[in-house]
Amino acid sequence: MNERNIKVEEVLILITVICLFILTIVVFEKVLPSSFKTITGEVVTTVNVTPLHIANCNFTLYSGLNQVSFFCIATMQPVNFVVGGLSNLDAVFEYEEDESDSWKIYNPSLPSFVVQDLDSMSRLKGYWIRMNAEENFSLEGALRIPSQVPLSVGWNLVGYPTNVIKDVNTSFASISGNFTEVRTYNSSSGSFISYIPGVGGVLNQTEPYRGYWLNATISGVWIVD
Amino acid sequence: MLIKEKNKPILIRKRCLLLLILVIFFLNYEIKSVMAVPPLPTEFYGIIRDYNFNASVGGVVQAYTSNGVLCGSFKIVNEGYYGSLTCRADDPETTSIEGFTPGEAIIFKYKGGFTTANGDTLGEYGTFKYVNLTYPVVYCGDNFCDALYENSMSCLNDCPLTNGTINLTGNQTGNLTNISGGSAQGGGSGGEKENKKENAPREITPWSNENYSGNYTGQEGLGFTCKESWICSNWSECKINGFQNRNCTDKSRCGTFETKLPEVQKCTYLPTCFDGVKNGLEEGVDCGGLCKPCITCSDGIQNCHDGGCEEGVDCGGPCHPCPTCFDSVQNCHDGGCEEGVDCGGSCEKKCPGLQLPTTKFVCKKDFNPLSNQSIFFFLLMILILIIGAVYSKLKIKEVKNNKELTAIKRAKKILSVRRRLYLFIFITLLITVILYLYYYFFILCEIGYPFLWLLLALLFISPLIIHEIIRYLEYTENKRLSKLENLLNIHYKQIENLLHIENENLIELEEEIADNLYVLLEKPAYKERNGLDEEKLLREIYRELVLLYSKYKEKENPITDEKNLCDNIYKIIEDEKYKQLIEKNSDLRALINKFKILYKQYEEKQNLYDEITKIESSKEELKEDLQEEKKKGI
Repeated sequence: MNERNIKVEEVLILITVICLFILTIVVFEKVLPSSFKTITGEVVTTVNVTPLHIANCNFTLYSGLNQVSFFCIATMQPVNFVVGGLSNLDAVFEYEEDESDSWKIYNPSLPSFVVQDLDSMSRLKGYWIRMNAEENFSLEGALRIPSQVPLSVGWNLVGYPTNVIKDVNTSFASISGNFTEVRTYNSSSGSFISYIPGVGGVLNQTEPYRGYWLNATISGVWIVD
Repeated sequence: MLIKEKNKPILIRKRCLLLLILVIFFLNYEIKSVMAVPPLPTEFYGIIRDYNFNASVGGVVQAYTSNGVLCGSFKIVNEGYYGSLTCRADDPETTSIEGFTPGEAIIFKYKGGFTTANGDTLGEYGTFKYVNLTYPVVYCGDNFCDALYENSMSCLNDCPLTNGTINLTGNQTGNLTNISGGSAQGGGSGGEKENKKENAPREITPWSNENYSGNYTGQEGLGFTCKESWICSNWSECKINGFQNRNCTDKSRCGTFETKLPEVQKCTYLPTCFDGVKNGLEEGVDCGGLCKPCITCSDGIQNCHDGGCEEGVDCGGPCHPCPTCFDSVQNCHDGGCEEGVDCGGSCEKKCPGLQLPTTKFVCKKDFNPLSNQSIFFFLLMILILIIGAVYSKLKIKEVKNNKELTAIKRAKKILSVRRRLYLFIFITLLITVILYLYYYFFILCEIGYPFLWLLLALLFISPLIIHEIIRYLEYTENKRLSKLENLLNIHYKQIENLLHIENENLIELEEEIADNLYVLLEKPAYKERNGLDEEKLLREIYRELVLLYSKYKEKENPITDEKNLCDNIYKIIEDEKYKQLIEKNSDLRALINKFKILYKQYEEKQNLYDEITKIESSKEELKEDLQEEKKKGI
């Protein structure tokens, strides 16, 4: 076999590989964009894909008020599923700005005739949990990142749907300039700590399991990854 | 200097003042920090009665601060009970008053009117308070005897005595207990049932007292009788609870209710699509049937209802949980289908082993290339293949006609062209298959994702297949070269054998010629010619013949000696000088004929020598090629 033949063969192989490579890219472009079609017979639905990672929640709920969130709730779960195992639970409060009733509650010790409007819990929301005594909270679930936390104008009690501690500037980069203040409640000291953009504050990092009061100036979405 | 000294305390005071302002500012800021977020509300719940009856479903309870600010409301869903009614607290950072300040008493209204509250009504952050409500406000002199708060002892005006004796503890106490509905924790429904049982056979007269059944005779003793004159307003529209009411007033203001007309009566309620209750043909509250379609967990839309929002289409929130990677069911979600139970597809966890997708393959268009547009693609590919094949054929023909090349080189060139043709055909077919699969799954059927693995597998395997094909073709060529080498060796040996046979023949012939020549040269006629050219040449030939004979006997191939002999024989045959001599001498003529035969034999032997030289050069060439291949590691 002379050198010329070898070169011709190499060129042929190279052309084939390039063709296959281009084809692969085209195929991947076609099938794996950020959102794609789910084919289940006839129904075609567009679904945003957020990868799931197995992650468990494990933290301490102090006696009295706790401002918390649960990153391990991948999809909305019934309130009983999340906090049903707590024996010292007094009540859970959820806030969502509304003209008629901004607060939703769950209190297992109330009589059955009382309508409890908090029936499900999400990783995107922050919660006030009042405990009668200190107790460890544990929940098996999954982490879904990135998460888009909806914000409305005014105060929002939001969750922190990730298990990573971050610097506040990094954490709130996606809504930079669109909020005036962030606060969280320190159960052990019984006081709030806050962060004001451009000024700073005692709150210098965002932590998992904490709920945050976020005062937004425009409605939008806070992206947490 | 003096002025400066005088100003010093002022400066110090100014600085202190500035410091104080700063401290106040920070303190204020800190206070604001603690209080500025929406404070936790107070949640109220309890029993609610409406004219001694359970408040009906749909009725609205409102909570007000002492300033008259509405801090929350609740629409009754369980008859006779309300709550949890959220009464929001005031945000101290804002100028407006949104709700209560801690410790502020909350006022409750029902049907737009005030109520009597029994319980702790003070607003406190994040507390749950049990408060029973009675509508309307109970006070002595309202002409209504509230069974819970009043009796003829506490308010004779509202609860007049019956004929005869006053029953202080008997029926009155018992009835009051029944009406109140028992304890707040769970006796509500029991109370309701007892109430209904008590009231069932009677006409509903909310103003009636349980113990008030006779004539009021208190004023008769004064010598006059007051004649009641009741005037009633029109009946209201039939309410959702199946009752309608009106107001009746006694123009004579007798204070008695002997002829008072009923203020409440049963009626038939005609359901509407906005009454807040599921009735009529409705499938849900004010939806379905003749109303707008209900928002349900099976409407095929991602929406909010029943106090929550769906997380996906008809799942999550108020509906059944959305399929996830942890639900122990093999299902489709997040844009993909699980390949096993909670694994593969859109799940992070990989399934053990290879599991082919189970999605049902449905392609609406025809697979047959003849019935879809891909026929042109196939025709193009066939054309390319034909062009490739024809080009290779021409190239082989050209190589075959090239006489400058050695046979081996020609063979190698032809093999190379053929190999390239095979490779070209294979790659073209492979690309055709891949492109058609892509076209079929992703463009024609648009259901490519479950079959992506097929295309990807082909893509990944293709380079390997090509590599293997090249290896195979090279190996085949190598084998052919080895085969050729063997053939050459065989041929070489055959030629060697022929040479050996030729030598045997030559020995015989040379022996014969040498004998004849010796006899001739020993003849007296030739001896006389001693020293002549022809005699010298013949003697030379004789010597060479004897030398060659001895060499052949020793199995040598004396090519140079043979060549010399041939030259001499040629000389004697072709030279004009010897021609005349040969014609005159008959012995010499016979000998010359034998020389000619010998010469021919030598010519044939020379051809064999040439053949051997060619084989040796080819063998050398092959040897080099094979060594090269070995070096490449093939």
